[in-house]
Amino acid sequence: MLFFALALVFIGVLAILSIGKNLAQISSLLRSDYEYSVTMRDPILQDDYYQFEAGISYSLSRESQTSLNAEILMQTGDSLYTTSVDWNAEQLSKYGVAISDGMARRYGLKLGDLLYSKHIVDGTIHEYTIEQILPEVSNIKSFARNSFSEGLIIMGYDDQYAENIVHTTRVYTKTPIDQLSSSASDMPVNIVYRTDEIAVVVRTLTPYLLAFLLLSIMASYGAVYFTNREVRHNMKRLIMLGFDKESLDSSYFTRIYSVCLPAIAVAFLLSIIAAFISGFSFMEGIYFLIAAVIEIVTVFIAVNGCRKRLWR
Amino acid sequence: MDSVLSIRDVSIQIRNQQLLQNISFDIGEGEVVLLSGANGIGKSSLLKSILRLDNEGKTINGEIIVRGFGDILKLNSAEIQKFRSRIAYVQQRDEYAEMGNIQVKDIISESGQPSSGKMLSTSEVNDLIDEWIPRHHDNRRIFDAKSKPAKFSGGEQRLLSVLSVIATRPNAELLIVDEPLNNLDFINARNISNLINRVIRDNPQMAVLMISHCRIFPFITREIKLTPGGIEEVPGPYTCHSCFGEHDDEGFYK
Repeated sequence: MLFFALALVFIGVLAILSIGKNLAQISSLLRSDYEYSVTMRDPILQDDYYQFEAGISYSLSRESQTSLNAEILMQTGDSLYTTSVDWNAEQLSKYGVAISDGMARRYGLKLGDLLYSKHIVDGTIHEYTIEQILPEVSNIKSFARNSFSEGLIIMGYDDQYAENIVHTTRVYTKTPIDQLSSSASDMPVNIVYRTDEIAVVVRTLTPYLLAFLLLSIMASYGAVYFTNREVRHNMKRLIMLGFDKESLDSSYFTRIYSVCLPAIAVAFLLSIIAAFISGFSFMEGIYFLIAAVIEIVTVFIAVNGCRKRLWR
Repeated sequence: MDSVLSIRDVSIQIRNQQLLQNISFDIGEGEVVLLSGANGIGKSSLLKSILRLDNEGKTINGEIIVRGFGDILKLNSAEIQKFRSRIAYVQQRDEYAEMGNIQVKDIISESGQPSSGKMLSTSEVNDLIDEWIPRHHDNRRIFDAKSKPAKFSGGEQRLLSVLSVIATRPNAELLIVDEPLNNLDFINARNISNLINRVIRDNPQMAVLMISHCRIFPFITREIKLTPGGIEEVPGPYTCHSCFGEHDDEGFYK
């Protein structure tokens, strides 16, 4: 039982390490309520961020020559940030930043830690305090310029940047696009629908998800097979001796289930604990639940198949 | 003589291979019949067919009639279990090594439980062992109730297998024994012969069907031989070899 439980936990942890980021992205996208994101010249004063063409970058130390590989957005001075965008940051200070969860975990960053950035306008290196950790953000479509980005950094409003550096505005909204176009001073471009973002993440995720679920199925079948192997000779002896077949069936099921089902339950709990330790997302919980259900169904199917062979 | 077991035109096919064809014979009360024949001719398959064991891929035609049960091939699942609980069957292979921590007590007690309806205690099992198997010269049992058969030698396992059936089902009408002497040394082979002889003498109505390539059983009353052409009665008295020593007038080895 212990070996089976550990195998399932191992598969679960492996799954979270491999697809945890994608699951968290889906969680974040599902919790959001905007319909699409779009690039415009001017802000609409709700759920919008400046994005700069100039190379703003952040590093972990003042002397570091290597910058973090992140998408960078800046809050506008006057916009309202609502819950329509799950990863919206609260109002940040000028030298405050919010970073996405995956990046924080990757570099061991926590609230109050400092990042460093050379200010493009005044030329000095400033310290930026991490004021918020954001949920994992999909960067597959919204920020298509850098598909290898490790996460997102949101800067607090900096008037020097806003006034001196060329920028556009990325807007997250559910206002109909024609209405938005008519009120904007330019044509909105680079429209990305949230459902498309979800679809892209799901497509990325699906092969891994299936592979891990297949592993779970194989582990569950293996557990039934090996437990069956332990008891089958004794069961055959008892059927040969003339014991009541229904009682033997019952004993057989009890034996297999008493090994496999607690192991699945223990593995589920340990996986949830492991996921909490590494930053739990709703979709990770769903994944573990689906995996547990599939494992239980596999056990039920396998145990019936093995039982039929036992009495032949 | 009243037949306990009647095999009527039995044919056995395992997948596409015809193993036995139109075999017929009877065994009456008190008869001890040796079923002989070359390896692979189908002796064990016939014995298993009587108990409807190992039926995967097997087609059995004809009738296997056991007194009190009718045609075994027509019994339903519950009836076949009842039948199995009433006869004594020693299978060819012992698989105790695959049964983990099971004890001699479990083997013996469970063997009797379907017919007697009760489980035996450790001391009852030890009493039964003492009743049926002589101890070593230093008064040790060959095995006791707490022993684990998984650690037994092949011969000890075989002895346990025969003992567990014979000692717990001495009143069965039909005893079927498949190769009782596999892996046995000189002493245990004689012990087994004595075990079977004793149960036959205690229950003279018992019909016995036995397979063995060793001709050391003085109590055999009749021999039938399976051949590629069918089955034939071996004429004349059964010849018992004396390679395991001499037996007394009642067929017991000393």
